[in-house]
Amino acid sequence: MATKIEIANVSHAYARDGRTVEALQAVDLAVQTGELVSIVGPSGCGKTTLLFGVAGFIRPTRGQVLVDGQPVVAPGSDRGVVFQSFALFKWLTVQQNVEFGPKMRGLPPRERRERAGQLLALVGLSRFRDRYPYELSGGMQQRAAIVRALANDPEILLMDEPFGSLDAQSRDMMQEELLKIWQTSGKTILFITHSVDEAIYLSSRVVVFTSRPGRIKHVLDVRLPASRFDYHIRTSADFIRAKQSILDMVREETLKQYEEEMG
Amino acid sequence: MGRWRSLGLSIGAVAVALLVWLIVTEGRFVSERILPSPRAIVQEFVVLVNEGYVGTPLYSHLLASLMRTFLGFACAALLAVPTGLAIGYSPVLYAVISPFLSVLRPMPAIAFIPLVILWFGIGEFSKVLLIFFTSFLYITLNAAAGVKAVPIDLIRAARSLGVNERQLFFHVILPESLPYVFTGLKIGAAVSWAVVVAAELVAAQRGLGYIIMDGATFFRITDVYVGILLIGVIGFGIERTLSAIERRLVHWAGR
Repeated sequence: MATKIEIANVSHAYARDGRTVEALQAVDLAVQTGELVSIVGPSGCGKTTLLFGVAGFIRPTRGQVLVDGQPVVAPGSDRGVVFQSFALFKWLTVQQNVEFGPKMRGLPPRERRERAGQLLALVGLSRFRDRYPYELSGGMQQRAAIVRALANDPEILLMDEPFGSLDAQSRDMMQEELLKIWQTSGKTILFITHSVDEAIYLSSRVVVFTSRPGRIKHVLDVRLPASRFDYHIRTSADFIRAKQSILDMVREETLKQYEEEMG
Repeated sequence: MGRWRSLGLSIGAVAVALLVWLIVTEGRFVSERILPSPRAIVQEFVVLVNEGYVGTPLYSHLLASLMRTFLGFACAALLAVPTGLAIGYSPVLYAVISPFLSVLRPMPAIAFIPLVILWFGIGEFSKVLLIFFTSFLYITLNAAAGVKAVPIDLIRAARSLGVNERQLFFHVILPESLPYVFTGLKIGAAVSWAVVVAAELVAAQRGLGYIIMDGATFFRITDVYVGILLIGVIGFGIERTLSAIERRLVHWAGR
């Protein structure tokens, strides 16, 4: 398998209130084509910063991000991004939102309509294609945002806590939905989450970050059956074991961060 | 509170106010020199409609005020929306222009009336210029604020979907700013309507402001009240019309 995303010795610092904040420190990570890799860690540990570096929203102060061996210098339609805030275009219908990328890139109307139609059917939104985002539930909005990112057929999907604002039930459903998309499309997915459960359930590998400045503390290979649509997996012994060890690590880092913040 | 209950209370409150007004005036508790009765005002309104005010038909006065407002407001809107969007979009333009706008905004337009008359005389141009100037400020500032309030996630999402700079502006920043632009237009229109009357108070041969000023000069107090009430009713109508357009055009605002 080829390396799709290579994060090479990436450090990032930014100025806030006149002080320099070190967000990332010497992060090395290679994501293979077709892998779904999750990053977990305490809040503010720089995991979103890393994802934004891959997306091209920020330029790391040191090191570089390579996609297919080429340095990332700007955002591009080869890397679809899904935000926790959904970031849908409120003045466009669901269908128009999904067609947005292909339209901007000059795809003819028939093709992009067809493509949007297929994607909306995939996530069960066909009936809501002419609704506006504010008329949909959070779960439906996020599904629209995911297929909007998929409409350009990017090889990489970058997801920043996409299910963080959903209720527990919608969240479980969305995770299964995402697995389905991942397994049928073969996309390479980098997934940021607060939820250890979510990370284990979805990923082939879980990357645990330290508290700020974010470094990689541990990378855990998840050895769950490839087909995970049986939700009982979430309570299997292997799952619990993996969860226990990651929770221990995240907790250790969170406590460190607390100590630092309390002085 | 339910919608009908709220509406009922509003109607009730207005009815009580009218009743108090009627009792106070018809019962001669207050001189009609100070406050004419609603009946007298309605009668005078009918007279004005039929005979006009000092030889000029009432609709002609109304039209004079409305045209001045519309001309000043429309010119301002055409220029201010692009200006505001540009200021919001370009940090350089913002840095250069915003200090002037910030200083001008708290200055009431009526303070400039003497200056404008000094420079341009008491003709139509002076009044339209005042209206232009007033609404221009509000519309520009709101449009700029709208651009500045575009969430960064939205811009990033658009960039990841493959937009170029031109598309980013016209397909994301512009529509996302529209609710702000509309707020600016509404405030601009309301303020314009207020300013036209103020300008007519000073110097005009026609218009609602003229009726009020002339009426007061010659102790035609009922005419003064008719003028004031007409200003209120028309201002209310303008606000309602713009709000209705707003609900249709930027239906997503605030949702």
